[in-house]
Amino acid sequence: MGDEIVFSTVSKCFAPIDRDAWNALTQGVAWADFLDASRRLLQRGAKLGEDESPASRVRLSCPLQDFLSVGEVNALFAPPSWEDVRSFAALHFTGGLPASAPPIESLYRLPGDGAEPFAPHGESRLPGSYYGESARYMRDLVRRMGMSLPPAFADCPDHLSIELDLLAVLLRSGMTHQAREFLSERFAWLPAFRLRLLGLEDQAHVRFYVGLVDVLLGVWLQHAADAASKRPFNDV
Amino acid sequence: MSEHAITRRSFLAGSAGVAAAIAGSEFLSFGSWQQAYAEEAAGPTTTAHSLCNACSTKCGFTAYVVDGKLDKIIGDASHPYCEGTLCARGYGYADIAYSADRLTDPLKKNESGQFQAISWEQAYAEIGEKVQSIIKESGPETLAIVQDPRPSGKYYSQRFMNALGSPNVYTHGVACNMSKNSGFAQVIGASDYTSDVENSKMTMFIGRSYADAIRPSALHALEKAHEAGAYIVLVDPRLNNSIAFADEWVPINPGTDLAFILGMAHVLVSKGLYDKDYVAANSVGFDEWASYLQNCTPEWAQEITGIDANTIERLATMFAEAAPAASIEPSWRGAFGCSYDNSGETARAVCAFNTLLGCWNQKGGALFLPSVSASKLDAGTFPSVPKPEGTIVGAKEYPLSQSGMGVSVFAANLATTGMVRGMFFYNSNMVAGYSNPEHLKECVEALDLSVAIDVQMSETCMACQYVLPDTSYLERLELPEFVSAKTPVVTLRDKVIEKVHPNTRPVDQIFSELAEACGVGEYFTFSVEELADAQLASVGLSLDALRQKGTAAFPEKTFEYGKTPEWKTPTGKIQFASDACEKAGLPRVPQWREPAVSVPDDGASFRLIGGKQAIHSHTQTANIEALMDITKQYGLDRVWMNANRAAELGIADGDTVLVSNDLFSGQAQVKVTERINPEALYLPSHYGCSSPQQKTAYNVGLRQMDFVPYRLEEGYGGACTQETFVTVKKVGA
Repeated sequence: MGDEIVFSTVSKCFAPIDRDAWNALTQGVAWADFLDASRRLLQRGAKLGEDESPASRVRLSCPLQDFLSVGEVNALFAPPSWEDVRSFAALHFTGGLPASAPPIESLYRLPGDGAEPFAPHGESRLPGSYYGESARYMRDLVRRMGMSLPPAFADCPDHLSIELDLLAVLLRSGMTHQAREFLSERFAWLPAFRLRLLGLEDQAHVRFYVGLVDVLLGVWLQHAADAASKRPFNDV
Repeated sequence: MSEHAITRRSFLAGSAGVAAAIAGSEFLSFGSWQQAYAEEAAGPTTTAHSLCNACSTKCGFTAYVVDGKLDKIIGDASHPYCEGTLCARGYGYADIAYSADRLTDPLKKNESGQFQAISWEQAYAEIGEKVQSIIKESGPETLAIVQDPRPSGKYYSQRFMNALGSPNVYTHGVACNMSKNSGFAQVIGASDYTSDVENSKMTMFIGRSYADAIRPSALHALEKAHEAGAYIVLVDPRLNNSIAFADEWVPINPGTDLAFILGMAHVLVSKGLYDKDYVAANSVGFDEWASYLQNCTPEWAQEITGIDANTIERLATMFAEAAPAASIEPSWRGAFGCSYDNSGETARAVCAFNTLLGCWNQKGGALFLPSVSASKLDAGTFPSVPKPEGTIVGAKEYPLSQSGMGVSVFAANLATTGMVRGMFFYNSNMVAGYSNPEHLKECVEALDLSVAIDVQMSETCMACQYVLPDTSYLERLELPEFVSAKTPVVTLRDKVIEKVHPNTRPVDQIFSELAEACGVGEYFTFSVEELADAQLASVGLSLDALRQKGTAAFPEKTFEYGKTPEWKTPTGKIQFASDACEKAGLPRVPQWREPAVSVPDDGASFRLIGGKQAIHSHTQTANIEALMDITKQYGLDRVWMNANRAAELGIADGDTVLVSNDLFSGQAQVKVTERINPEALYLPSHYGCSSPQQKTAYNVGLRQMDFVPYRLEEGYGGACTQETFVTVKKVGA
């Protein structure tokens, strides 16, 4: 096991954490473990929350370059400093600014839309509004599972960091089936968020965040493909 | 493979131990949750009374909150302004609380001109240091604040600025109703009155449309008047939507209302149709005005106004027959709130004309409605702020301007000279709405300190150095709002929902903390709850009691018809002649005064006029998606052009035209219509947002103010928002 490190690490990358925590996350073995776990989860046939079989361990694994662009891989192998991350968040993860791109699910879903997120094709306007249905679901789910939201996320229980954190907690708790269901249901908004990031001018740091999102999207798509392959009469 | 402690820490539980905590707990899929949510009627419902913030009316409503989220609002029947009915703006503007464009954190502009989030502590420390530095170097009179009055905002902003030692507290009035109010005050000693429309036999509206700038109770009254057979006249270059309840449209040339009133007054005086006894008993200076009016014949007025002399005579005669159950309605911003260099003088003429009708405080006439206010509070708990020395900047240059409103753009203009060094803006979009935006932007950017407090990134915020994120009106308790009405009331804006964004702060907290940072925190040692409760206790109520009702009436203060008002003028009488006006360089009695800008008679030029639409309030509501959708669906951002003029210029309905003058040029679609005077081009006042952060409003339509030069009305200081002309040509022709 150990898939949860992917989600808990990306969760922290999108959250307002302090310098020590950022350095501990990105400057030690933890970051190498994250990259390794990401690469493993992105392999064809990898299953979320399952131990690697002895056979799969000896199979050749594709490098991250096969899943991400060169720029993204380079950015992930050299994470930005805490100062850069803090500056990026002050410009882009803050509300009400022209280049705002808060990683909050409600903002990328049309009001009343529980299913398909809306990708703003070239538009600067975010389609949703704060505290939509996904936020209320996450608030209730967190509460239902006996946990509490930290005050910094009180306005956005559907912040990417919280969704990923909950996914990591589910995996860590052995709730693999629930984790897969959660992964399947929750992350369809990431393409819209990715598009929003790509529209920002700060491309040097955008590559780092888009790389993280692409890891998540790769896992999400891999999982979706896996789920589809198990459907009866899939190709009929 | 290892998993290190740092990655195991969870935001949700703060430690790695969360796994044990949730073991065995019940996970609920999104689909199951949606079903359960629907079946459980979406959780508990709570209610609270509040006041709308979509315009200055502040209608009362009951908010229904389901599971922590605003579900619906319903107008309170007991609130005298809404009488149980809210307008589209009221419903739509509630979306602001959850808007994707909300400001969520304090912002500071960096060296490259970009805003970045900073902490409240940093914002307060830097602003406080700069304020103290400015006071030390230049004195507190170089500081100013501009605010669009709201229940708490008007109290706290004034207290804050006065505590710093500055008298410079301004409202948006310079670009709203200040010239009108100031002109009224010169004649009747009061800045406003209310026409008793529903009981009138005849009411004339000049430039104001109840159906376009909605106060629901006013529209109800107009409807009742119409149904009761009152004769309702609309004097407006544009046939506005109140025509549904009106009998006649007078398509006057823009900027000539003063001549129209003088022409009607001539008829009343020359034919002896005015209330001679009333005038003799209550006024001074009548003979002076009557002498001037001799030359203001209907024929003379026809030449200026474009209105047939017979119409002027007929309407004046009808007024005399309907008096005293008749009046010229006081208007608001409309034609003479701030529009022309003759706005204040037009306002004087309106009050002088109503005096000829003897209609003050008469049933169906023009009323001075009672109000109630909080008494002086315990100085121990709510220490008095010393009155600042000196007078508000602009009072000397514009001596007729109301000090309670002030000439805000004049103060801003002084930024370029260094005479004003620091400005605060609360709920005010001065840059986009008060005069020429490019000029005002330069003024704000010239300040040593500029701070805006708002909920979304306005053009004024964009020009400032610091932006502090306010809670929306739904997320805070405010001070009681006392409302003047036939039976006066006090109303409450209570907190409806919890803060949507944890790092926003309510206005009372922001000003109290700013005061602390600026070294005057001793005047802000109480909470808004304590102050609200004390204010209400002073009128025999309590905060708890008002929270239950939302609106409380003072029946013992109910208005009675027929009582002669106390005229609070220097002479204690209605003043047809004013020494103050003469001292300010204006005539002693209301006389014809040309608008400052003449429209060239070249066949291509139009006077650019503005005006509200029923679904928007200035620029404030343009970023509300539901309201902007209505704009787009009905093409409400089109400019209106007279059909004959359009034909002369080869322009057809729906064409894209280029609207230009020496200040600005931009394209818009045109609505070709018979509903507008040939001299005028109507551009709705709500569009042309240039703040990219307001992603719904940005770049939709043209902005009237872009075509308006910085100019102030002599004596009164109004922003002269219609003293400009434009040329129009078809794009691609």
